[in-house]
Amino acid sequence: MGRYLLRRLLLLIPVVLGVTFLTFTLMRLVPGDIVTSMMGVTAANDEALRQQILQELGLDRPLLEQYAWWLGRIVQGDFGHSFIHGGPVIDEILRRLPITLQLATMSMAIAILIGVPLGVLSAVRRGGLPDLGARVFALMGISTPSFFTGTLIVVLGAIYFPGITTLGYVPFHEDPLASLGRMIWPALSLGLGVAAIILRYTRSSVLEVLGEDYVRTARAKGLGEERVVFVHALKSALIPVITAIGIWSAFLISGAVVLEEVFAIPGLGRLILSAIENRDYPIIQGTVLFLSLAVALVMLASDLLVAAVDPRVALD
Amino acid sequence: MEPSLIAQRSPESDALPPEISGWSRLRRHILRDPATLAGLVIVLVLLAMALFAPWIAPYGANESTGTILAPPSWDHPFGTNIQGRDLFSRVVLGSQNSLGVALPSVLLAIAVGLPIGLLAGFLGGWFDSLVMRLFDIMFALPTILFAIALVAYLGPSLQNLIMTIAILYIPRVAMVARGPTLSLKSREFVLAARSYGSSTWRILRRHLLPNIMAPVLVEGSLLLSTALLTEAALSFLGLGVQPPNPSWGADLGRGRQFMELGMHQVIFPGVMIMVAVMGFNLLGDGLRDFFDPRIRRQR
Repeated sequence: MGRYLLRRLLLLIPVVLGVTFLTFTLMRLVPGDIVTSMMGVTAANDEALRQQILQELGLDRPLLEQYAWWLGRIVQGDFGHSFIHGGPVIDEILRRLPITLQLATMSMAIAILIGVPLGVLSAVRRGGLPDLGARVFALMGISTPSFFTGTLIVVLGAIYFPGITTLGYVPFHEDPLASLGRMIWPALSLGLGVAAIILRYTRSSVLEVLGEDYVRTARAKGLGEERVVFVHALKSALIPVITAIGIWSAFLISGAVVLEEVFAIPGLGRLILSAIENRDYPIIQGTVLFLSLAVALVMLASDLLVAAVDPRVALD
Repeated sequence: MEPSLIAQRSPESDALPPEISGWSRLRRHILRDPATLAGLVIVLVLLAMALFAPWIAPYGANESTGTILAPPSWDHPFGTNIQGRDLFSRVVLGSQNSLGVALPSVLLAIAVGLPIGLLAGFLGGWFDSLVMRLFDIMFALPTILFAIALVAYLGPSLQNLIMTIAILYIPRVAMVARGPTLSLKSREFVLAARSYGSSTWRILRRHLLPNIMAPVLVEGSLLLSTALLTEAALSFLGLGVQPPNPSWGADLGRGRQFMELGMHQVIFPGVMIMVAVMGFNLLGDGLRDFFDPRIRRQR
């Protein structure tokens, strides 16, 4: 277990290196000019001043050298400073990370709370009315973009329920109830789509398990249907669902970027959108590093969870 | 295939591999399953809408009708927007941009991803490892960030949007092609072909390619639905199709800014995205059920 964990953590290193190098190269190739967004057009046209700024920021050196330099600082825990407002990148990220994490966690909680029970119901009552309803819901959930659901919630809320769907963000530690109350709407917009996906995984996984021999054995020895489904079948049926949840967390992070824009939530998504607009390289680099690490860690966690509940999976 | 043959083996025909009975079996499958049929109809209607858009749309995309923010009426079925443009016309004409991005980008992703996956699976070794590590990196990066960065780099034009979405989907197509190739390459018919001296190229083209077309086709139609969603999301954020060009995502994003002045501005473009995505999803699911009998039995 310890060795496996160590190996998986070591395997993260090349992935994270690749992701950061990719964004690094990509962002340097982006047309648009950091000097203009920092100092305005007048300064950008002054060639001497421009060279001086580029030199100060280290942007006049070769790309690989810049990357190595950035990496060297990261290893020492220094994420650099924003090109635009000069504040430390790490402060900005740590201030916004909990906001995005709260949105992602609440969305995933909603998705699991809706998706798993509906998926089980749909499988157990296959062909019946609940199954039809659940499958229609799944189809709608998969086909509706979260930003459309979000926009509808904002519009309908503004017109018919003023005061309920307030935009913006309240820190959890300041007012937990208000914080949850505001975040519930973007989380719902994002969670419904993922709920549909989890529902489909759960349904097909439960259906598969219900056809297994040991389930037939359990029925044959006279166990009640409820006990067969909830004790015998569900235990192994939910294992692939855990893997799916891990994989779709990455999707959730992508969705959060768009949803933060719709609901005016000051999370990492809006940070990176404005940073890309302003060519604020250190912020982009730092945010991408954190987000891709988060995705990789969630996937690792779901693999570990699968190994913990599934005796057939051996970690080595 | 002759209809009489189908009738003869009707009860067992489900157990036959699809390549034996081909198109007529596919047609029967689609006609029998209402969900797949609905998907096919939606997709065909969308394609017709995009093809004949200039004749269907009563107004030009940027033609002013003289009334701003008119609610839906006979003259303007979807109402008008803040600039007084007819939303029905914009939605119809927008289908050209939405499908015009989604279709070529998925085709491009298949054109590049299929050979990569096929070669990676067949050759194995360092090439396979290299490709897999690269894909690991691409999968670890949240897609929308990747797309935003790429579009920002390439600049928001239709061609660049197509390229960006294609790059995003290349790994997914390649993975779908690689899996079956891995298991097929040690099967007898491939070994036999190799033993009588077929070249690698011939084995790939004649023996492996036909066998992996079905999963790639299924993945392709499901990717079309996500391609539509990605285009809509990017345009919604202002990074995709640029105003004043009509696009469902862009119009939804713009309508959002004036939403208190009339919900029709967001409802119609949004519902269009939804219906289009649903159509490709239904069709993709139907095709998957057809090609993968293991899943079909569970339904």
